[in-house]
Amino acid sequence: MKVKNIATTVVFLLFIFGFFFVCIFRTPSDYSDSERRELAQFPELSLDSVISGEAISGFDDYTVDQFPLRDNFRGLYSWYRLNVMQLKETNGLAVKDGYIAKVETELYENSVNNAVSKFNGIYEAYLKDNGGKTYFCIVPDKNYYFSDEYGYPAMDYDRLREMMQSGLGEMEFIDIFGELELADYYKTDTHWSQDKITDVAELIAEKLGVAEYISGEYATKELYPFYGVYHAQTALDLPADTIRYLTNETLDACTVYDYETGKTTGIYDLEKFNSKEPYDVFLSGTKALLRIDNPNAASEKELVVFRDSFGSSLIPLLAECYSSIYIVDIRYVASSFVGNFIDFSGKDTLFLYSTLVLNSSTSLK
Amino acid sequence: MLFSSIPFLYYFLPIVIGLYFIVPFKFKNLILLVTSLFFYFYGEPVYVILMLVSSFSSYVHGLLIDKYRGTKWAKVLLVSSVVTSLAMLGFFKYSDFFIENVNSIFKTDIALLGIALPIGISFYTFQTLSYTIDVYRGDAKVQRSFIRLATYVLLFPQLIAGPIVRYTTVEEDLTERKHTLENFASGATRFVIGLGKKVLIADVFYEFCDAFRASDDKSVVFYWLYALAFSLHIYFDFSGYSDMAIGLGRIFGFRFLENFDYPYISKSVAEFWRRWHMSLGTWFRDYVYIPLGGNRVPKLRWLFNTLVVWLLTGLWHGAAWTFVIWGLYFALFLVLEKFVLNKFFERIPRVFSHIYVIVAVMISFVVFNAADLAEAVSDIGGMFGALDIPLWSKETAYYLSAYGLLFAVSMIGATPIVKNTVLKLKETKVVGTVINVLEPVTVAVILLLVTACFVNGSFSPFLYFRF
Repeated sequence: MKVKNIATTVVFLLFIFGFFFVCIFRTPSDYSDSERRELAQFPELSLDSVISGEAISGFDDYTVDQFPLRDNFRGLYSWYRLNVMQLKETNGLAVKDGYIAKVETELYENSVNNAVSKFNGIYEAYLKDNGGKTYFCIVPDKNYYFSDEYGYPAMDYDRLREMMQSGLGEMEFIDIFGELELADYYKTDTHWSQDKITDVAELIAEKLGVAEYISGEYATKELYPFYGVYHAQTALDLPADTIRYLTNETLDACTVYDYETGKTTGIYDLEKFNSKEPYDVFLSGTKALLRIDNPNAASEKELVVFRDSFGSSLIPLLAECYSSIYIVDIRYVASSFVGNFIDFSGKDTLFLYSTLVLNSSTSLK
Repeated sequence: MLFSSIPFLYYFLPIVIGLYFIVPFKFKNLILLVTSLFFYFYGEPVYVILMLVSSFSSYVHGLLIDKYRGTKWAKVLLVSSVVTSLAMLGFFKYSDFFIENVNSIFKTDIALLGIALPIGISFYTFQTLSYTIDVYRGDAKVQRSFIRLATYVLLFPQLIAGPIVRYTTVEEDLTERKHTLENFASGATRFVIGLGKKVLIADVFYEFCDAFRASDDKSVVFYWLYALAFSLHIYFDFSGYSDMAIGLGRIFGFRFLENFDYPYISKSVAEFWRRWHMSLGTWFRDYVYIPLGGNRVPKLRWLFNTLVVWLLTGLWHGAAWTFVIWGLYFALFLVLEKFVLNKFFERIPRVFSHIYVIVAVMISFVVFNAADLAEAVSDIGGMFGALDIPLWSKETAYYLSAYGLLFAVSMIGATPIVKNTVLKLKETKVVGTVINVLEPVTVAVILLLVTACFVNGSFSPFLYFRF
């Protein structure tokens, strides 16, 4: 009994004093590579910040963010939930056969209506009488296929499509839901893999009336290892993905002009692979306004695409079909300013948005 | 400050334990008082003053009651003490509820005060009340040291979510208490088990309840699962907190009384309340029910006494009609049991009386957790098929399979099966040795897992903080 009491006391004291001293003496980190975010720092102390509770909540955040072995503990948390408690999610993510999917079950109709209203506003402002055609395409998020495959709940995708179609009556809907499957997405990331969406690109090109310009011949190049955003969120030790990007002579010759920085790059920005967001190799990641110029275009046609990050890997596959593609992300530029940079006359326009953004559209400006 | 947080477990607690065991005995109460003040200040920087005022009021009233003992002034001072304590509780907890109802009844437009509820006010008010009443009754000796009395009221292990520790329970411990290795080890184990109950079980049921609320695919069975999940959540949340309080108290040499005794094995609602939040039940029994005459009165008077006690019990839990209904709901069952059900249950197999208690309690907690009466009615309607929903749904199947193991483990954990099995096995020497080895290992494993939960940022406040 005495030995047990000593052992229990020692274990307890080792834990609380051990971590106490490590917490006190360790140098705080600024950034978490695995979580891709800045970590909370020790709060500034003042009478006001203490009385208001700001310093205290700041200290709470600091102690959590700077806790020693943070990534190991986060991994333990996910492992315990999934393997011991047999829960089906950790941090809102489900893991099956290496695939990680965000289990989003609630359809926020207000958000979908907001997106509809925003797109219709753009249509009224720039597209109604511009002489071009307008299309919209919804990119299903991974859980559309994941939930079907593994029996997880999912949001009401039919209702979302129905709302978008009825709300965007002036635009032609391009349905790609049947063109994809779970294997077309990265296992550890939210996005689709470019080498798996050539048929989607061909379908869209066909609907846009430019399918004849797609060569369909690409060289596939690989970047490894790619740990997607979900990998960091689960903190589990899961195998990495490979980024496969497609190129050919035409794509290699294309240039991408960034209106914000005034710089010109290529379609694929390989340096970004070593950045915090490796998926940014496609069109350099989140950019407000870009233009792809294709010097070898067989057509004089131009296209405007309003898009989210899923467009970054799809739009390059349409580059062969147009002399220029204007790429707008209205999460980073207000739609009312876009007319200052783009002349919409005679151009076709495509709205290409994922269900994730449509269901959380407050960021659309 | 939350027990289930990194600042408490890995900053506050080691500092307190370090200081406490370094200083000589005569300073130990002072260390506990100062650190308890900081503990409260950390979460409620402003209301710490209110708590000190409350403690000082009961200290002065206690001294004066003792001084004027045997005179009419003692009673006046007792009334003054009770009114002061209840006025503070009433103002900070019930004023907006009162104004809302006045506005509703008289169609007035009196502005709400919007006062934030001071954490733990219901607990420490009841403790200070018990002190002055016990001094008046002669059940407790007056405490002449403010530090000792304030240490009793503000002692951080039980300060903000109970149990409601009577002064008489710790009267002796405040002046003389033993610090033994056995006390420390058993206190640490009890604290860690409570932490595990809260973080590893209660908080996960909280997620289930959230998922239920967010679901667009509810079913009758889903409503029942929600009722079960919330019943288990509140049990593991609150009894976990009580375990932590009792364990911490034991580390510092205090002997708090038990607050839960496996309430879900009860065979009647009356028994349930003898096993659930025992410190509150006995408080109302000793300071309200018995002074009103208890059960040694005519039936009508007993009915009145019961209604008063349960109305107050409901209101103690919160300033809302759902809590009033919740309290009176139990009064109804107690009356029914006394006059009808007890005789009936004596004649049928015990399992039916267990089922009756579980169902009655589950429904009560659905009312308890509802945002308002309309939601309570809707939730109960959902349980009994009054809503336009199917019996079963895809999401029901999903959540049942996802949380199935947790339901099974926690339902077993809510009974004495595990405890009794361990005690039985300990009788065998070899197995007893293995269990003794496993105890520190279990402490380590639980600490690892709860730390993982803290680091992941997945914790929620204790439910009983709002009382």
